[in-house]
Amino acid sequence: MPAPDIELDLDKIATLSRLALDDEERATIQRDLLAILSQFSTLEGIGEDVTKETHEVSGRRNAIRDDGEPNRFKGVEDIRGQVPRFTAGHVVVPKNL
Amino acid sequence: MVDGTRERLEAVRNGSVTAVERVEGLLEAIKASELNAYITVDERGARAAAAAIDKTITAGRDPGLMAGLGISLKDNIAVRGLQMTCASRMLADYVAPYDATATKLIRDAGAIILGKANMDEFACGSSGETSAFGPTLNPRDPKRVPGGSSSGSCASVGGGLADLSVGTDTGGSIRCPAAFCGAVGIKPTYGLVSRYGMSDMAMSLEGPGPVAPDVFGAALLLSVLSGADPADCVTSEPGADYTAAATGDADGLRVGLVKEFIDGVDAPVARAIKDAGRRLEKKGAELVELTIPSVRYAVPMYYIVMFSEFSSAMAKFDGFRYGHRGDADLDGLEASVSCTRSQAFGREVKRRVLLGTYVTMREHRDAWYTRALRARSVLRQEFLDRLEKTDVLLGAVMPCLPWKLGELVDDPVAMYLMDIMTVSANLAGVCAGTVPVGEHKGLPTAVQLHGRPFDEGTLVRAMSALEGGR
Repeated sequence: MPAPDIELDLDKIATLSRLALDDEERATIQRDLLAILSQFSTLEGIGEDVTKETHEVSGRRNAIRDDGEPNRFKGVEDIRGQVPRFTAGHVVVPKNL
Repeated sequence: MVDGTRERLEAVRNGSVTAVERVEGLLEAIKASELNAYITVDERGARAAAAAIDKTITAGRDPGLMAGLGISLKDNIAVRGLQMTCASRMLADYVAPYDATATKLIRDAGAIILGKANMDEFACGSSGETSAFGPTLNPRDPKRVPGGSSSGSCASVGGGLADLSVGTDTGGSIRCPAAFCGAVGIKPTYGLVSRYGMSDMAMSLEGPGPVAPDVFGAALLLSVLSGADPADCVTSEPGADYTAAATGDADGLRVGLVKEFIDGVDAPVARAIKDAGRRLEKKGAELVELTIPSVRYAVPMYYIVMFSEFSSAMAKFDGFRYGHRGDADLDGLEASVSCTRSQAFGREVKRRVLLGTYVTMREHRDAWYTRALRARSVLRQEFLDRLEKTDVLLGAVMPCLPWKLGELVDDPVAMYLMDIMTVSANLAGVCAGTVPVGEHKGLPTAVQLHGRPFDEGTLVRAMSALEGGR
């Protein structure tokens, strides 16, 4: 039973998901997705007053570095500048075989 | 007649059965079976490993803790040189170039790898029916589902096609099929067992765990699998010998009977829980009734988090970096990737990828994903509070006994709701296990126990007190 306030632009979602759906699939999936989201909208209300978001439960996250603001994209040239070797428009990688 | 894990181990160690004989028996059983429990069987590798174990025993050297036991691994765990399909067309031709940590540990312990077990495609399913290689059948009644997603792992153990198995559990994927196939299954605490070499589905929820015909076997395999691994940064705790905890007694245990894990279940399941409670009481446990209110929101909470993590994990399957490449002659990278994914993924995988995209889109994120993460905080805290006052929590694994093949496969909402009793353990990061306690019309009945994080010893002790309906 689809909830009336759930808007589902399946074309946009499929494009973002890198999926090409045929007509038959589209109809079934649209129906399934609405039914699932409608059922799951019961979550409304729980945890509204809780500020903590539990992303993981081990107490350990990202052992490599602290999460912070993502670095701004500074353009392709900046990335090329970080590559150890760059020749004739190609990144040079070590030979494996 | 050799039947329990302890006896099987002893038989190989004392030479009354050689590892080669044991493995030949299992390979014959696999060949004769119609359960579709395996995707790949490694006859050559299994025979060679068995011969090496026999040689080690003859030479008087230690053959390892699991010497001579035949083991299956869910097909989302890497075994060097063997196909690792995740039961998907996408990876049908993928051969793992290295061993997962779990694989290495069981090899080092002398277990013999029989092959890769069937599963729901990319672990998406609770019935064992979504595999691209065909459904697994229930060893107790082939017309019924074996449960999922570790369907082949549990059917192989329940059907006598493996001594032990390694499955993975993201929202009940070990416990559900173990209950349906009459096996023992444990979902370890998140961070106790390394996930390195396992194809990820939802990284904050999942992990490998043991499936066995008895509690001793599950405890033994857990002892081998557990412990910190530098290759998986969320593992931190040392492993332990959990077999010592399988004492069969419950003296002094405080057992919480959780209202939400009992209400609304079918009559045979309710009876099994009631009987299990009585048995624990008889063995000296104290029963306490309690509630965990947010469990009633656990299914939406779980699926929203899982969809989000799953759609992200699946992004790498584009036909360029991994897997199947679409055969359409298309212009452009985007069209080629979409074609590849559409051809190779099954319907349930597509549904989950699409929903994961939807709930994490900028315009929907707060209403769905962020809300689910907040709700997860509430659920986790409620679990930790209840487990401060009790040692283990008792309830159902599944709300019903195994249903018929095909009965729910086209009704995703009904299928998702079947996970109501199992998903909380993964959201809260606690350990949980299922143990068979009886039968109803030829089908196994089972109960579930939840334990404190990293307190698998107490969990194993309580499970052993219920084993075999004693």
